[in-house]
Amino acid sequence: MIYDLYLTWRNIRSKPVQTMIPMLIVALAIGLSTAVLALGNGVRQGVVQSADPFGVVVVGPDGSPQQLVLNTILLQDDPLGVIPYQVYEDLSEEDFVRYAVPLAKGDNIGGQPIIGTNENFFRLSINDAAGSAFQIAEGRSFEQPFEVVLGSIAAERLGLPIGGRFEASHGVRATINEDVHEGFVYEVVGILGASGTPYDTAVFTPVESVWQSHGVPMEGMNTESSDGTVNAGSAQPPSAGDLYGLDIDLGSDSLTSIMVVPTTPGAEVWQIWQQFYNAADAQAAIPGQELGGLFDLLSQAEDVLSSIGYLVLVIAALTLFLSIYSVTVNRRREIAIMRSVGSSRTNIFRMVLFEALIITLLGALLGRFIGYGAAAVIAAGITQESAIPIPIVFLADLEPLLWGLTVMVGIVAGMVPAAMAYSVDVIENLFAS
Amino acid sequence: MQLSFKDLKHTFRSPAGEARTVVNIPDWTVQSGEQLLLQGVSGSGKTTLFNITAGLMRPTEGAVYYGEKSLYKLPEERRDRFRARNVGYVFQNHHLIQSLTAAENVAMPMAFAGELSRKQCRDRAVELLSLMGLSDHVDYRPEKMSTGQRLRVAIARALANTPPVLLADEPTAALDTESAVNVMKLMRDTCREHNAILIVASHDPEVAAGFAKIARLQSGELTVEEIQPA
Repeated sequence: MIYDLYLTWRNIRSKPVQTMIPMLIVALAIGLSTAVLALGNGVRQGVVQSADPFGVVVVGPDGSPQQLVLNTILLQDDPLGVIPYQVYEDLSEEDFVRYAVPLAKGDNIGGQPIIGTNENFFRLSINDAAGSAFQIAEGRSFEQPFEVVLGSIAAERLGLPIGGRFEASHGVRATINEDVHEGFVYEVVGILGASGTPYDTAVFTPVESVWQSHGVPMEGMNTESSDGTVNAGSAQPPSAGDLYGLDIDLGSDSLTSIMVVPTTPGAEVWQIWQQFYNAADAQAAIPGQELGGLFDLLSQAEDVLSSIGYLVLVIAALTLFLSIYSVTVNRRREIAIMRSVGSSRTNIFRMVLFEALIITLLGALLGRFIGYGAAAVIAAGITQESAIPIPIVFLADLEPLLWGLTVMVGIVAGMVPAAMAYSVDVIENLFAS
Repeated sequence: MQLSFKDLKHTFRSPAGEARTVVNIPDWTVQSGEQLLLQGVSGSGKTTLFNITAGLMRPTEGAVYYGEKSLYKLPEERRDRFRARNVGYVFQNHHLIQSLTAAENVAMPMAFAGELSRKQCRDRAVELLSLMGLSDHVDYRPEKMSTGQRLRVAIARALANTPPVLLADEPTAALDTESAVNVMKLMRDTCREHNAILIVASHDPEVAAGFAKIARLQSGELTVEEIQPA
């Protein structure tokens, strides 16, 4: 058997092109399947990690709870609309609420979202034991409207130092035609350390800054243009379209959502949810629950991509079959020679099957590198864009299945050519002109 | 080991369905160590007789015995192994595998016989190639060798397992006279040394001159003639 394997390997090495093509096709098929599975797994883990890092309940306007969670926790998608600031104040007084974090979004600087909030944001901790997730690494926290603290990734991308100043653009993300809030100049007073959450991409400012830049004057506050001119605050209340392009009237002080930290971690979550169950214009959403629905969607997308992967695998099996078949047809004389010097039909059958298996297994190995490599590159891109960590890990549970599938493809593709080689007529092929 | 043929008959059928007997040997025994020349016009059945003798082509009727063992009563798998160990066959077209080196071609029957390790096979192949004057060509592929060199590789391969029977079908057809004489001497000496049977099919008078026994195939019938030394 070892000698059969040796002759097979010598035969493969003697025709690198005929070997490389089916091997690459197998590699691409396996690579696609691996990348889809590894990315799906990574996205799931990444979203789970980022989805409920603070153990909060999200309160926001009525609408899609999934969108509310995506926007509030992962900083994806648009805000649903606005809710009155009063909701935050009421919640903060509840016994079952340890503290609440107001969030007002609507502007960006260089594509990094500006989040109006208060000092409570910096109390948020991951798993409640590790202290605050948002530690000031440089400078100090904001104290006045239009002072900002930059998330670690935002600071890196914007390249703004402490004392750096900027005017915000309208909208939650960067657009080609930027609509700058002229006259409202923000100043960087602090930079946060990395929290490993999507909030690392954000810029934090007191919620009043957001209100004022959208037309709600603050008592005693004036604004200054970038050229240094001092302006009085506008008396016009901002409209919903002003903030998010949504058709909702914005009151004098509004929020896009609130993160509510229960008094006892996990215990009062349903109490908070129930409080908003019958509310007409607000809702509470539990991130873990809502992202379960998101995973259903993700699974569907994964199923589609996996089906494509399996289809490519079938095409790879056919290509491999054609390649091995054609090689075997061209090798009939060689097979007859081997038989004439003492090789048995079983030796020949094994050699052809080994050839199919070796090509498939080499392809599968290369496919792993392609698959995990592509997944890692795509994951890095997603992480760079969203700050959602997408861990690409070795799929230990799925690997036996993938390798089993590979061996099966090799056997199926090699079986017919091996049977053909088995029945090669020695005399006919030995003395064929 | 003696080689014998009993009631051996092989018939081909033409596309028109006409039967033609190319081998018809009622009883013939070749003694161990005998060397003989097989002659006959083209199509007289020489190659067919060799193929039957080597266990590659089942005869229509009759049997081939190696000693007491009836070759075609062996199951195919065992017959393949038996061939690897007991029959050396030098083909007219050499039939070397192009993707393998000279040493790998020579090692093949030993590896298939399964009695030696891969290293032992390689060492023996190198030794045989050196005997054939090809010590500088052990790692050459056949395409890089001359016709004479390829023939010597084919002979080395046929001798690899020191078989008790060596068949050579027109081995010198593509060689000049001097090379032909050298190659024949090599085969005859080796067979003599191991007391092996040597049957050579050849039209070459230079080759024929060295044999004391000639077997002639004519219309399938075999006649054996002893040549008295001049």
